[in-house]
Amino acid sequence: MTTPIIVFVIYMSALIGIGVYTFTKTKTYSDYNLAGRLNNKWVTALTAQAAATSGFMLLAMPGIGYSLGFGAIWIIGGILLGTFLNWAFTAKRLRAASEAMNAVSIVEFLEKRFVDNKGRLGIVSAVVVIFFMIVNASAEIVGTGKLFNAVFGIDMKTGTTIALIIVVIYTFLGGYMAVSYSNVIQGSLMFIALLIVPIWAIYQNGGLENVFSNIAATSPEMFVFLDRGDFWSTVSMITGGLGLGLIYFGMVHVLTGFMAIKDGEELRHSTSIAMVWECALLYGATFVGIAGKSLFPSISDPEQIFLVVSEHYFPSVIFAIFAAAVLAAILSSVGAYIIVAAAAFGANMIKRVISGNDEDVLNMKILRFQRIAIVVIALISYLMALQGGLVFTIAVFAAGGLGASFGPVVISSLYNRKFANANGAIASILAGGIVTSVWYYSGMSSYIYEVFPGLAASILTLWLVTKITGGPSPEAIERFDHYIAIYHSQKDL
Amino acid sequence: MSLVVNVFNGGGKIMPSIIDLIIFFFPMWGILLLLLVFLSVTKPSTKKKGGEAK
Repeated sequence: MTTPIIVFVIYMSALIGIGVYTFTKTKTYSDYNLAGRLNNKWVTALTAQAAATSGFMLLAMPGIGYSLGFGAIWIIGGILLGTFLNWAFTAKRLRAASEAMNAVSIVEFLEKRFVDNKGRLGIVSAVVVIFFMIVNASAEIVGTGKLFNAVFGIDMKTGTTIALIIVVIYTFLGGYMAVSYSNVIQGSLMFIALLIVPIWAIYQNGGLENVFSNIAATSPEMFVFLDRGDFWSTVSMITGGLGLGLIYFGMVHVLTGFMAIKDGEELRHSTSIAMVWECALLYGATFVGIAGKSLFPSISDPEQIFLVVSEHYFPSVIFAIFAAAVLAAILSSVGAYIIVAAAAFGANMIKRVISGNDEDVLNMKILRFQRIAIVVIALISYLMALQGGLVFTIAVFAAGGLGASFGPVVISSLYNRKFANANGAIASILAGGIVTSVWYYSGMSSYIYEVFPGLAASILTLWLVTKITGGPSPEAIERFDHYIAIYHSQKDL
Repeated sequence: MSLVVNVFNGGGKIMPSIIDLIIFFFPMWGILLLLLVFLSVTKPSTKKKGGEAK
């Protein structure tokens, strides 16, 4: 017990150290919300991926490997395709567009891109971002409770409280810069853990063939790609997996990572780093679950299989480091969710009620409110997390909500000058969020993943409301043309 | 326990074959191939504006 405590204390002290260090470096509003747009290709790749994958990668994904075996191919395929398309087709354009419009958050970008002078789009998107980020953060905080319970045997409430205090401290102090720097450490730790644990678990099992024959004897359905026993379970597995590929264009915390890179040209290298990292981790996590099924065929909570395998086969100090990796995965996302939600609050709500002539003074005032928002948002997430639940289920709902709300608007804002206007964007964001939520809470997700109806409603509403309300304004078209000119000039350099 | 129809694994063998493993890893090698295509398509030009070689 002592060793894990020492490792956790060192790790958490390092995170707080990053918070204090970045606190001294954040001088401006842009520093706090976008790390001053100074991230390099490695920081960009690891920050975006660590924030995107979160506790999902070390808790839920091994659990999926444990429960579905080869059926995990649909989830892996969906995630990899969505991640790649987002990096390849969104990242560079969004970097150029957000700089051309001097926007430090996605919400601010949309507001400026669609010339929403009345601020309705800003407020609606801020509310939707904050709602889904809180749900997302609560899912992750549930994960911290499971972690502390498994490692220290303490109750979930105490575990979540400790984790929350740490993440609030460093995010409060250093903002997105602290989130970026800590995510590099956390992303690296996750990579190492998911490289070593599956290999060692398979080795301890006497090789891959032994793993497979043990599973074949008890759970042969683990090798089935397609059939989960009944029609709707199969449909749900396939659509749910592939549907995960559709959420990425609206994952605001990942899109923020694209905006923070110093040189947009480096994004192609970041794409390579991100994809190799993602492939290794997804398969590593799945094989932890598969090997875990062979070693421990009947554990009560499959989402704890990574911890169970690590504890069983590694010395306590190594186990503690791997457990810290799980905490790293969770905190990296919670930090990103909280800062993105607080940025949406600061840039789009507080900005409207605070006045001042000096922009720097005004921005520093907004920052003070934003820091308070970080604490409030974290507390609401914490209260939601106390209700418990499965990390996977809550996380995919929140991600689906973001994808359906923002994906169509973000893509059309970057690729088409006339497809959307501010009214269409507002309606689309609301339709995506509402349909996804209603679908999820009505229990229909057992049949079809909520992102599909959510996206359909969002795209249709975007097109229809834009048409009905007379299309985009000349100013909005001008802004699009301005950004495209900058984007192409950067390409030609 | 009945092994329901597994269209990919060679007529219902219990142990996965090498083909099953290749299919299971398809998302990885498929996406890495796509990445190679992306990198080659987006490779920055080695020519300066006006066609002069660097």
